[in-house]
Amino acid sequence: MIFNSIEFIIFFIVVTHLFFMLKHKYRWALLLLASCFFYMFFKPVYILILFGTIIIDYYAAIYIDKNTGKKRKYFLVMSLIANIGVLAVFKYYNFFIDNLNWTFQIFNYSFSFPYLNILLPIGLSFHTFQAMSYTIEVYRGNFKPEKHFGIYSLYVMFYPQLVAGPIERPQHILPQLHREHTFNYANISSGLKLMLWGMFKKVVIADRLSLFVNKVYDDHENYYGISLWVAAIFFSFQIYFDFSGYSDIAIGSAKTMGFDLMQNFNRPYSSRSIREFWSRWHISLSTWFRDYLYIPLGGNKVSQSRWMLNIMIVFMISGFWHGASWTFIIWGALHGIYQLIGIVIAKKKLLPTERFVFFRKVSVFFLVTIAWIFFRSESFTQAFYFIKNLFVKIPEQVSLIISNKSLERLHLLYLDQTSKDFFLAILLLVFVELVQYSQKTRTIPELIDSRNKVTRWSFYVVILYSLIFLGVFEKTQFIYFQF
Amino acid sequence: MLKELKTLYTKIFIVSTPFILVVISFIIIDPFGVIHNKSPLSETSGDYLSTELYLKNKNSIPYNAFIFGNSKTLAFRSEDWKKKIKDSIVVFKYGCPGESIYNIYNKIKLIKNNNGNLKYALIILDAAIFANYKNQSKSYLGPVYKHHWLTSNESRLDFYGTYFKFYLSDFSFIKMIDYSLFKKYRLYMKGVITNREANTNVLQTENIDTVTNEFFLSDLENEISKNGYSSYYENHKAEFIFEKSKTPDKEVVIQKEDIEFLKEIKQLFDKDTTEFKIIIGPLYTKQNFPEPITMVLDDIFGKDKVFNFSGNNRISADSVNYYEKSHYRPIAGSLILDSIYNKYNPK
Repeated sequence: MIFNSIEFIIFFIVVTHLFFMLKHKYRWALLLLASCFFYMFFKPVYILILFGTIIIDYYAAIYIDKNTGKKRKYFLVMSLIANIGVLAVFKYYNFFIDNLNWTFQIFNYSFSFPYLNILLPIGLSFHTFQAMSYTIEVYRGNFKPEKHFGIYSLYVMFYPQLVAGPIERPQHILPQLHREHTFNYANISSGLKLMLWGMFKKVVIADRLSLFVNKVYDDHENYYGISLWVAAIFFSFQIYFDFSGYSDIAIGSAKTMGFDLMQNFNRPYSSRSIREFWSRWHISLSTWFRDYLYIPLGGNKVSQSRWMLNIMIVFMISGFWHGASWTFIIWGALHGIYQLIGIVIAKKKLLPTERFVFFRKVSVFFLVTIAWIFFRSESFTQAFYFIKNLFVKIPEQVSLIISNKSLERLHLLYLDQTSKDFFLAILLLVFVELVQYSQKTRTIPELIDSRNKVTRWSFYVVILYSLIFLGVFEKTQFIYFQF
Repeated sequence: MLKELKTLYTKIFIVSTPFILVVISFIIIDPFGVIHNKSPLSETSGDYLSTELYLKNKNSIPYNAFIFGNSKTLAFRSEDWKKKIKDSIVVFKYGCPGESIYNIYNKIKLIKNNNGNLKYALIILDAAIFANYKNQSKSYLGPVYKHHWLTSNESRLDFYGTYFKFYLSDFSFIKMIDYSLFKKYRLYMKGVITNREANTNVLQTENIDTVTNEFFLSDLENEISKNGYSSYYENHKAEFIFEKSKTPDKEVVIQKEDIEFLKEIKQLFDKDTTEFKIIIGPLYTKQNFPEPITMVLDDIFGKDKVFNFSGNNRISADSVNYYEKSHYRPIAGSLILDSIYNKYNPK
């Protein structure tokens, strides 16, 4: 079930109440059952695949810990193959077959491999990475294997973060699953407020922006210049509010029960460099790649050329993780290239580090927005159409918009939506940016709860009723659910 | 813990009170006629009304003849059909706007699941039904339109949720509460409340026959009989203009799932030895029904059961047979039934 649905609200209320009604020793079972129910809501039979990998990883970790030398590596490799194998079959098989068949066509071979007609299990990319971090940490000796099978299963399947993260580490979550969590009003209050804020970001802002973005991406050849810029910029905000909104709901729902999940976003569009952007965007994934791919490849402790290669490998694989398509790989590669350029600029001191902060932030936003075009596009053709036509006839469009001849503004700027929707979207963006600017490093509940009673109540009432009356409830899935 | 829970619930209740009142108003006013089945304030769901009527009547009225299809079923009167069948038939007109093959299939299944007698059936088709694959396009049917959960296989929660969402959107509930209290149509209600004084041809419970579920555009028929068709055509000329941007019918394709649904429909008809006819209606634009879809229909149902009235023929050539570009009149429906039951070619 998706977070922005009545089913989830009912599910959450029931599970949280039962959690506190039960004794501590039974709570893991409740959460595991609830997580199974949550997962099976999408496609019940896939729970067998999930439990298959859970069993493999559970025993792999125990045997890694019990053994020494090569045998430890053997069990680690077995666990990694199981997880990556499932990912390869369900997510990447058709991509590889597509490319293989295309290659055969180039060489005029008539043979073609068959495609698999299977649905991608929900949250596959997320829970496999979380499971792999467990066996890797056990292998590295940083964590003792979990002996309780139920608790381990819950580590992989914990419903708030099952489908789209944050991708947790065993050291952070497993001890919490063992710890008794007493009813804490402050946790419940702050958790619910965070969920409300997350829902607001998703349903009021992200889904409203998607109306504009989808209009252009569904019919891109009908748009150029300013319209493409509006769509591209709106998508930058759409994906941020969509995913950070989901993360807030995940973190908030766990918080109500006393569990702390890691922060996943930290105002990424305030970044002054691409490097900083990746320390603020999808933090759980970027740190995963840093710890389990970049550092094992040598990180920056290698020659210059090898370091640059490591960066490109990590970002391209990160792109590939997001989707089985060349557009995602290009998106990742672009970020890799941005990183390399950033390294060169820093090394040669081409820009003063502490000056031109606003210019730097705008530049980072611009570069990230260009990269998002590849992320969002269905194909190369679409992405290149965007890139080619971003600057086409802009002065002409500006004068048409100002004069509003033949309702040009409606098509060019409002993207065939109403002006009311357009200005409401802008207003909401400004509102959230102001809130986030005040937020700095605090969470929303921390920010608002530091204000007086009138401000606190007003803020949450406005958010709640904005959600009810301005929410775009088209049952849209969170963008990252597709990964 | 209990004291803190009580504080939490109290705060949530206080904050939610306005919303709870809006929910209560939605239940009491029932602006779409989908809760108490009373006369709706806004355009309602024809499919919901039809299905509820069928479920209400099925035990007391021995229906054995059904007409399926989209709003073009308007042209087929039960009285005309009765004259063609040498048997006593009790007709239920189960067509509605924005129909898809999926809906028709679900309706036939619904009748079967309720031990209905499917002795006779007419299925009225056109390209729009195939273009409307699984109810994708509904924006032309009014501010909000939802098929009954039994004919769309969606949840009841989804059904009521859609109407409630519209009730909330753009503060529509204020317009509806205003109209409900003062019974006066105001300009700002446009697009939300149906202005019955300006348009009496809206689908509402009072206009529907409570046995056959028939709905007629009686005002338009009265206008034609009073002033003559030429005058009617002059007054409604704009409604006969076809938008060039619309996809031509010949480009409409049949989805794989629809082929499966059609096969299932045939199986259901075979089980009940239903005497059925598939009618492809004549459009004012004289567009031909897509040939590939005709071939699929012939293949599944048999050429002797499929009657294609699309393209240029005696019916489509005469504008008298049409209310506007989309809907043909009962006189055209009568001609079609004459043709298929008396087996003559209208071309």
